[in-house]
Amino acid sequence: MHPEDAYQPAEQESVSPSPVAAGEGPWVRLRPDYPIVDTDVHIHEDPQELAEFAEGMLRRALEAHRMPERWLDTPGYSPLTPVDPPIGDDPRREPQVIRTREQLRAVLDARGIDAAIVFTGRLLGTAARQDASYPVAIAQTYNRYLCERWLAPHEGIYGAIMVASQDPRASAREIERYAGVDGVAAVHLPAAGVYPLWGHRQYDPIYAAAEAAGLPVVLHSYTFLHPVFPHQLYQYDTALAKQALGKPLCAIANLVSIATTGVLARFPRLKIVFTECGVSWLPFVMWRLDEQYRWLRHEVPFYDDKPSTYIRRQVYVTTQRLEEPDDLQALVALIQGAGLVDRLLFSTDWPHYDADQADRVARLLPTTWARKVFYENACAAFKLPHLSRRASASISARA
Amino acid sequence: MAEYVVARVGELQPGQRKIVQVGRARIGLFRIGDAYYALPNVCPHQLGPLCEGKLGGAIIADAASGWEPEWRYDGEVVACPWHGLEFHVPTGQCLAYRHLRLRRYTVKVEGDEIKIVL
Repeated sequence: MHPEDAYQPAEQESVSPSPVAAGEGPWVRLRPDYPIVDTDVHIHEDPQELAEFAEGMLRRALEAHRMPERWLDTPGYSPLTPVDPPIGDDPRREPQVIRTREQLRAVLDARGIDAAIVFTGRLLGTAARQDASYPVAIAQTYNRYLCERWLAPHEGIYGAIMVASQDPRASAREIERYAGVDGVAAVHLPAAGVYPLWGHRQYDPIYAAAEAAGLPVVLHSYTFLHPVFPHQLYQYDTALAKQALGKPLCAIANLVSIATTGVLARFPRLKIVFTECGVSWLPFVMWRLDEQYRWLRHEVPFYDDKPSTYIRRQVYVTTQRLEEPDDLQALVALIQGAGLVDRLLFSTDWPHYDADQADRVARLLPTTWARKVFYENACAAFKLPHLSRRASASISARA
Repeated sequence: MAEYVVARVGELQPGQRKIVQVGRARIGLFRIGDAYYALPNVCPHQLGPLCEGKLGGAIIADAASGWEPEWRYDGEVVACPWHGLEFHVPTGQCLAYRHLRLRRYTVKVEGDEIKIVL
């Protein structure tokens, strides 16, 4: 099923299985008695609207330079621009965006999703900036806008506030400011282009604040060309290469950093979520670290057990974009073998071009995992106090 | 249970160890300070000759050290010569895996004789 079919109204939805799952039937309609939580949905900030929430010099600058859309773009990243110029017909759909809370609720209802955690659509690349003042100001602006225009926890709309890696102390204060705000479910740590990587001790104030607030931190991957490791993807000609590697590489680089600097030991109640990078990279990193750890334990002297023990204790991963081996049992065995069934979070990344849909995830994974993946694990990872069944649509799953 | 004489008092100085064969078992006998310890000379990882490895201390960081690395267990940690897995000799505890602890053989000093109980 083409991603563009995601979030069409339910009555238009075909119940025929997606090509990958053909022959894997029979299909059942999943009519859960628990709410379905989508842990990664992107809003699209209207630049003029966002500017209303800016203060000080940033507001003045935005009012002086009224550029539609573009002022929010980061060099190397623009969600409304194709990854690479298409040659011939571009098979992808037109970019879709979601601009209002009402529009969001309507499409969630139509897709059988009861609650969503929303992330920025335009500001995923702020960590790549060299200066601190702009990313701090834009994070504060975004957080005010998010709370005022989007969050509606009683309607199942939660959000992640964002912080600036460039100023950890200001970011810690920002987390403290929103610690008790209803609907704030997580702290988004912009991961693409971040330097140094998120394991560096300079970020400890951010982790301390997030742990104290009971909020997970979310590292959101995306494909991004940048001179900073691991984003130097210039040698690849194709979007296929860049997309296949860029997102998991961003997650791998940051998790290896976090796991080898003691973040997990120093902040044992901190939860860390990796988003939009698929799943199969995580068992690889866990097993690779464990393998090298034996003789290099003295370099990570804060561990008294193998790194995967700590990763499994504190790290979560979202499903999108879930891998599809021909033999689905291989995927199941990988996740199960790494002990990650309790750490897997359903996500769509809607409405981005490579969004997953609930049906697809439900068909790729065992039905017996559905309660955990669609609901329980999200409750364990995020602050989601008012969950209830809201959507009328159901999703189809493997029988 | 049987007792086997494996060394004489004075044979090992503090910080020295010797590998002994008792029946089918290969055992490392350590003298640390004035105490004797005996561990299997087999690493649980890949069966390397564990007790023949370097004897030293270990770097540890925890809340007590403010998460700064500290040198601890000086002279009490043996690292397997094959892959470096570290064990605290007096307790048999593996430093890399909290659930892994080596069997410790009972050591008796009687008169001039040092005996291992199997």
